[in-house]
Amino acid sequence: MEYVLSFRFFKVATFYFGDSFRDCEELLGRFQQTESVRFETFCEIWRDMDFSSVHYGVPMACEKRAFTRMALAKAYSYFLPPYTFQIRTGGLYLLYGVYHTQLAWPKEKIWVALKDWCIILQFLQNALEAGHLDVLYIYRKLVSEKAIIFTLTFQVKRKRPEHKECEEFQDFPARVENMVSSDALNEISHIQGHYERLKETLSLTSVFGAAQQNLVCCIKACAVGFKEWQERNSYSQRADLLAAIKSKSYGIVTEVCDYFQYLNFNIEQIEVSMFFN
Amino acid sequence: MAEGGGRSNPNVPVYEYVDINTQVFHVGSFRQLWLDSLPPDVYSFEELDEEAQDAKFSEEFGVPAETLAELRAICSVDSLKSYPDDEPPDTSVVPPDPQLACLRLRKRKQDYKNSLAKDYTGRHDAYTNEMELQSVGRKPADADNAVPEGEIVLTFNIVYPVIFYRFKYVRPHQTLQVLGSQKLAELRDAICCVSDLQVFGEFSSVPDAVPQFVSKDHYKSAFFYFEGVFYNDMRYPECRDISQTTREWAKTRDFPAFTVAKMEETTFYDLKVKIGYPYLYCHQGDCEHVVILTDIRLIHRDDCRDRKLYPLLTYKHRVVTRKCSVCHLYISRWITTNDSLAPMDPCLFCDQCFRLLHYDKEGNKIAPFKAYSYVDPGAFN
Repeated sequence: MEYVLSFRFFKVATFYFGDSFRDCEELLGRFQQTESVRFETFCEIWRDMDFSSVHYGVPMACEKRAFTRMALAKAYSYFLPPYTFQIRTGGLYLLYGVYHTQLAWPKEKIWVALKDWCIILQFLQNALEAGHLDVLYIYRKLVSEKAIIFTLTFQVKRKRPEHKECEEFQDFPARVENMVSSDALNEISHIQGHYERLKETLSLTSVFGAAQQNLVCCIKACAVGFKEWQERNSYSQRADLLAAIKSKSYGIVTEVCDYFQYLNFNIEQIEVSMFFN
Repeated sequence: MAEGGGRSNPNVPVYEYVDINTQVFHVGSFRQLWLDSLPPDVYSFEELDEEAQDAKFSEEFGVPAETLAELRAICSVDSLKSYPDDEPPDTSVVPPDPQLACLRLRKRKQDYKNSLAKDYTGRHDAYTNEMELQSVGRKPADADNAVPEGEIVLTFNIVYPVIFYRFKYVRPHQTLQVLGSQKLAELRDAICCVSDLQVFGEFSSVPDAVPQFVSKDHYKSAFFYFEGVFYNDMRYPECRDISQTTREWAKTRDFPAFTVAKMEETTFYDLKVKIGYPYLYCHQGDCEHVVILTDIRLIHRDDCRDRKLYPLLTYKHRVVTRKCSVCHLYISRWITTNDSLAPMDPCLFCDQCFRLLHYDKEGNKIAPFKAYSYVDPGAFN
């Protein structure tokens, strides 16, 4: 995600790169083990780790600001897919915690991209349907306090050591999506085109047939079919999981409120376009 | 990070090359998408007090009062504190025996700095934060100059031209924020470049007659290049279309056709651009700056809301000024060549040393030399 890219931000981000991951993963890993999405549970882990102290010991104001930006960017990444609902909830709580405990002034904001907006609203809709009022309350508090900047989030990343994303945090459907992305399909199509042209040049079209003619379409169809099957099955699994967690939720919300009237998206369209990136 | 809903709408910026630049999008349409997606109170500058926020939440989600009170208590910011109220920690130092990996790393840096005899603060760091704070939350005295809610702020990095060899690698730049409703010409006027201040002419015989006119007054033509369109500055009768040469050359080669427009008639809402992609600003005929749009967002309550202050300079690379070869104190104002009195060719002098060395009491030259007015690139510091 983005920001105005200054040399200072890049320097700070590179300096803390691996360690900020470790801290966030430890916090969210412990949160994951509780199998809860309650903010109260998150707070206990936060206090136990004394996570507020992550901002301490930075003497210069511009470095405080750069560090907070980096920390918010890291927390934001956990708030989006491909992470599970619980980790994404942890990401939201982490955003809230980092935002409110920061020492920079004026406060560094949370930058939300237009391309992520539909995903965020879908997440909130899921939280609402499952009755997770603390998730909604935390989110609404951030919005009301003007903690959010609405932007295109864009960040030029320079070469850094690669960090392996924690697989236990990721949601299942993401793995096929990662493998069969539009870039991979384009590359396969390009290579196949090259192969066909080579065959024509050597007049071997009728003799050799190492690859299927409509290979890319077949892969795409398989992947979409798999995703649809997974959606059907995972909805029932997720429904069970949410039902289990819901037993600890706050009260019962019977009506879908008008807050989401500004939702202007097609869920199916999002899922397919998310899949094909 | 997944990208959702992007491909279906061309004005939702998505990456063309991941982590490098986005695809082309229309700025005005991007703004409209956000305004259509958000309730007005979300991007409004007004903030409700806590009680009003809670009342609204309770009404929207049908939350009973006891549950709301419980939520307020549990989700309070105080829940994040791990110290008692009467023992606040010292936030200026890393706590002893830190658990967090970030803190252990920072402690090593802190211990190293404490071991140094002297610790210098970089001048860039000293100025950067100061510059940002100048405009935060500024409101206009006059309501007519207030930036409205829902306005778009674009952030441009204007890279310095390569006037020193090291500028190829350091890539110094200045960062300007502009409003979507402003014209491109306003950005052109706000860009500070030392080539605009050059004074041409040889003045060794008449050092007191240095004219007040600078290159900016003589050569007023300029253009921006964005996505196949040259936006020329045609505000003055002296302005010419300096992009014409490039366009005619491109016609003879295998390039797509370029078009022209006027920068004083084009607002940033009208632009189709990519974020992160290098574009061009050219002035003074051959002074070229790479221009990169780094960010585009809705205006926030804490931003500068005084329209007269835009385009707003939020970051500027400070160039080390070149001092006089004699006193090494004052910034140079003269450059001499073919000068037998100078230790090197060319040589820089401040005004006092230049006159003391090259002229007698009556003001006559005491040796042959050529003298030109020198404007230091750090003049905008």
